[in-house]
Amino acid sequence: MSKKRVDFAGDVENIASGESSRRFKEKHSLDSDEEDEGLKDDILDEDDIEGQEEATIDYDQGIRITPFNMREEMEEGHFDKDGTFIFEKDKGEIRDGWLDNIDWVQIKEIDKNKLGENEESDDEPSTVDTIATYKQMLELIHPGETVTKALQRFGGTQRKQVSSMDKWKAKKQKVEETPEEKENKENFMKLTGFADEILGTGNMDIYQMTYEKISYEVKKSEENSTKSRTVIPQGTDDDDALDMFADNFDAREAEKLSSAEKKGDKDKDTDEHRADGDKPTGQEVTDTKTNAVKWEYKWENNADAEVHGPYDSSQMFEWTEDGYFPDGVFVRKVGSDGQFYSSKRIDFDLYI
Amino acid sequence: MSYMLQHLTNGWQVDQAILSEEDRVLIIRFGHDWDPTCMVMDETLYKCAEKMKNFAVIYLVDITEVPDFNKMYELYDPCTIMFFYRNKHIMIDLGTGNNNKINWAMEDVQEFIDIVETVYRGARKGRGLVVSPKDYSTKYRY
Repeated sequence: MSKKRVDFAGDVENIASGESSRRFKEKHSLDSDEEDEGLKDDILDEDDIEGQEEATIDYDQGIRITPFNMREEMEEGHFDKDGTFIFEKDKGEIRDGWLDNIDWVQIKEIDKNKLGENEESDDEPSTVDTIATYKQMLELIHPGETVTKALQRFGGTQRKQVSSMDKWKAKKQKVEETPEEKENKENFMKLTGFADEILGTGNMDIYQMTYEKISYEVKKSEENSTKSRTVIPQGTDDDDALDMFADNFDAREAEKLSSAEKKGDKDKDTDEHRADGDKPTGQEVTDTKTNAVKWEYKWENNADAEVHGPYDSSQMFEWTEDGYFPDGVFVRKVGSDGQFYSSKRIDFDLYI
Repeated sequence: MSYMLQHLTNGWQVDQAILSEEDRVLIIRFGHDWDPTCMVMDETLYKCAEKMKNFAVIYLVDITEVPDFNKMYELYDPCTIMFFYRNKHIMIDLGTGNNNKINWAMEDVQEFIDIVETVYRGARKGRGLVVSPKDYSTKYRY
């Protein structure tokens, strides 16, 4: 342990009395008019307190006897001339020697430099490609799952050991991790990392986002980027302009195609997952089933109005978000055979 | 049918029911079995119970037998339906202005199931207030 040098600022009282006595001996100076020094004049001298008695015995049959005087109190503060006790706060304060040795000027300079660096490094991840991160996350999350749920799934294997006894045993035996567990653990770390990156960009809802919502975000941004890409080459008749964009255009077109293919693959994946999801235990069955809510809608609430659909909840959510139904349409869950409700009152987000 | 609606006969039971239900919506009907409004509502609840058993559980409370909650939940109507999820009261925007409860008898089974499903989905996503699929402001007035 490091040895602290502890300094008690013990001489305050002496200094104060010393000053006051010195002042009255010497001639008045300009300094003596200063207010805070004037305050010290207010200190009530201990001798002015009447009726004090010296200490007689410290203890009487184990009971402590406090002497009838103010000496103890005077150690912690002082009375002013009006009899108000003023506690000297900084008196008993412990001072750490190392604090005195710090060159604050130097530190502040270092801080500034560091802060600058931090700010820069903070900015970088926000420009990090969130869409790419989203895509990587989608590979880890099953459809219908939120990020939190996926994390639970990956972490779920460890929770089987209930009692601390079991844990202890497991530790002792050093049970080897099955490759599955290992993979889960890796996926867990990966997903947490991605979610953290997204969180860093200011999206605080990332853990609550479902597979569909994330894929929707990805799709939206892809659409945006493709729109902005295609506009230029189509609008230009000029040969030069075409030449300029030609190479890029082909490359981009190819990229678009490949991404479309990927999307197709993903859709296949989700179908597979759904098929798988029907097998396992109770709650998951209801989850996947209820998550697969489809909707049909009609523009007017008449019996003979044309019914459109079925569409899935994320599609409906997308449409309502994009304002395709400004006055609302009449929607119904496929298979419910109930009445049609106004889409204005339906929160499709809940069904995604 | 094997599905009967269960009565809760004292405050402790009601508390326990609210506290112990982990992953289903708790529906409590406050009222009297002999009340005509409640009879209609109970009939609807009875029909729903089996269909909703995966995400909702229904209890009946006699507000004369168990007056503990009358003041807190302002149970002055002949029939009141309230929803709870994980010890939290879930509010529903029914369009009536009172988001705390359904205080009329609902006859349409599917309509009620739709409300409960919305409550369940909303509550699971952490919402304290959900919007009922149907607006009841025009049909039912105070």
